Parts: sequence; structure tokens; C-alpha cells
Amino acid sequence: MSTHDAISPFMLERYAVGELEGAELAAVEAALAADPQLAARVASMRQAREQFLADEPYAAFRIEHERRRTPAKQRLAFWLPTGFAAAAAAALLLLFVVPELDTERVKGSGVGLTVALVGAGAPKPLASGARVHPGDRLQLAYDAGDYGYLALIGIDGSGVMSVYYPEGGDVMARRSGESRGAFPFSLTLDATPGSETMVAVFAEQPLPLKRIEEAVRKNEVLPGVSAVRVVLDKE
Amino acid sequence: MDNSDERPDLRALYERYGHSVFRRCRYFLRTDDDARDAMHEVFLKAVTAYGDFRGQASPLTWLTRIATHYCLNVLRGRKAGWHERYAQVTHVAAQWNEPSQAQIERAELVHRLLSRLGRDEQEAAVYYFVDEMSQDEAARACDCSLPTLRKRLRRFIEVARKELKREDATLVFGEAPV
Repeated sequence: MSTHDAISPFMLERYAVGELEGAELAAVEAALAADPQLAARVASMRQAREQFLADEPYAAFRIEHERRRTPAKQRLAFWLPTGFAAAAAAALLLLFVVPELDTERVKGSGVGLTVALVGAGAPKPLASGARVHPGDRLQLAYDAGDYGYLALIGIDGSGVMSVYYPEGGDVMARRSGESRGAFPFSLTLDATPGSETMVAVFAEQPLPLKRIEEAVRKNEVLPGVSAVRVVLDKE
Repeated sequence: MDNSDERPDLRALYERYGHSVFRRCRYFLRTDDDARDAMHEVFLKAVTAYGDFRGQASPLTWLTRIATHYCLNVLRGRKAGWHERYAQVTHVAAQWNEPSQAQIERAELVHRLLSRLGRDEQEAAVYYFVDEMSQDEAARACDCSLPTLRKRLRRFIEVARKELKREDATLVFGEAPV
């Protein structure tokens, strides 16, 4: 029912991926030298592996791996019902403690995004290009100017885009009350290497989030929309 | 690959073994989409359990075992998928490196019979009859002794023969090969 030669197909596969050593390696190499069919089979295995990597490259695999490893909900580790009061209090503190000068602004539009590192002590404002680390906790605040609707989009180092705000629904959130406010959660950075980009988007109308994501991805300027981008350098 | 680190080099692991894991998942689950999904889950489990792997000789055996366990669990959840027949042989053909017709049919028969076996026999049958591991290799992959492996394979052969007899009562079998 089975061939089960001295050199099993499984051992050939181990040889093809380069994990054999010592006596096993010597046995396979001797068998390959004596049997052209066996050598052809190894060549075929290697060719199939190369084709697989061409079809399913590591870069694409890595993006999906990170997405599965760190679902977007887990990234909002501190946006929990029981932690809401603490998060809101930290956000309010951020509004009053972080100097206005540390807000990233779009000239002429009146909108801005403040990103600050929070933890022990006063929040530390972070400008674009600032260094951050996995596990750092960030608090974000916005100035929506005259715009009535907003959203917050994040893009991690592997290119995975997540809508951080609003959490649910298909359209942008309506701004309530004052033009300045804080997002009611903090973000804990995961271990994905590379830049961490936060984009606050402000609009006159409640646009679909899918459209906003597309525009952010393409760096597209939409009528009646203004966006502020802060890019952090994660080590 | 450096096994001394608790965290594997994901790129090295994927580029070396991704194809083997994908192919195994494709054998069990039958579609590229399902296989891709399973492959990701297998690598997630592998990364999480990398500490358990330290000191073992063969990453391929280790990943093969994780993939086999994962896919058998998926199939157990599906149930209905077990009744696929030889019509799907052509799909399996693409998953082997120039396999012979006998190899394809054997793999297909094993796939078809798995639902009638316990988990241990399932695993042993796949390693031995589909992967064509030697008995030593299959015993290592199953993490059992050689006599235990042989017992599981004999059980598989017994079930396989009953199934074949049901389709063709005139069949006569020789001595079991294990």
C-alpha cells in the first residue's frame, strides 16, 4: 500500500527545506546521487515551494498574521466600560495640560490632532516623528474647528488600517458640544514594527467610513473634509 | 534556525515551511481559501507555542503535527465534509509533487476513512499512508512508541478493508502490511 523506501518522502521534504544533518543528510545525499528520479523529486519540491512563495509572499502573510494576532478591539485595550471614567478623566486632563502649541494642525482649516504619551506623571505630547515603543499608552484629543463630524483612523507598520473612532457603525461620528474634545479611550501600542500613523478626519457631512478609509489610503482630498496626520516611529 | 530564542524568526519559519503547512491544510480542507485560513491559524499557534518546540529536532515534524491537529479539529466541526468521494481526486492531485495515481488514490482513501477512526488512528494513518513517513518518523510525529503506532495503523487497515469490502465484496486481501 505504501512505498516506504529507505528514504521516505517525508525525509526528502526535510532535506528539501534544509533541516537534515549528520547521518540523515549523508544518507539522503548518497541516495540522490544514485537515483536521478529522487533528485528530480527534490527539485520539484523546491520549485513548488518557490512558486508558493511567489503566490503567497511573506509580506502579505505578515500583514494577515499581525491582523489575526492583534485584533483591532484588543488595541483599544483601555476603552472598556469599567475604565471609561478613568479614560475620560485622562482625556480631559490632556486637553488642559498639553499646550495648544503641541497640537498638529492643518493650516487654515482650524482642525488639529494632539497625541500624548500617558502613564505616570503628566501627559507628554508627541509630534510627528516622535519615537514610541510597544506597550506605550497614547491619549488623543482633537480640535474639529467648524466641522460637525469626525473619525480616527490608525495605520500600523505592516499597513493594516483600523477605524479607532467611532467604534461601531458605518459613518463618521457627530461631534458633540465643544469643537475641542478628547477621544474617549487610550491606545496601547502593539509589537508590530515600523511607523504608527494616526489620522483624524473631520467633515461637514457624515461620510461613510469605507470612503474615508479609501481616501486616507490614497491620500485623496475630499470636498468638505479636512484631515490631520501624526506619524510616530515605533522601535 | 535558532531554537534558543523563545520567539521564532517568523519570516524564516514561513519561507521554509509555509508551503508544507499550506499543502497539508489543502489536503485536509480541500480549498485554497480554507487552507490559507488554516495555515494562518497554524502559524499563530506555532508562534505562541514556540517554547514547547525548543530542543526538538525537526521543525517540519512539529509544524506538521500542529497543522494535522488543527485540520482534524476543523473537519470534526464540519462532519458533512467527510463524505466527499473520488470525484475530488483531481483537486488532490495538484497538492502532491508529481504523485502517482496510486499515491493520489491512497491519499483519497485515507481522507475518506478518517471520520470512522479515533483521533490517534487518524493521525497515524495520515503520517504513514499519506505522508509516507517511515514508522520511526510517524511514531515521532505521533509522539508514541513504535508498537503503539503499529497498533493504530492495524486498526486503520481493518477499517479500510471493511470499507473496501462494502464496495466490492469479491476483494481478497493479503497479510496486513504493518
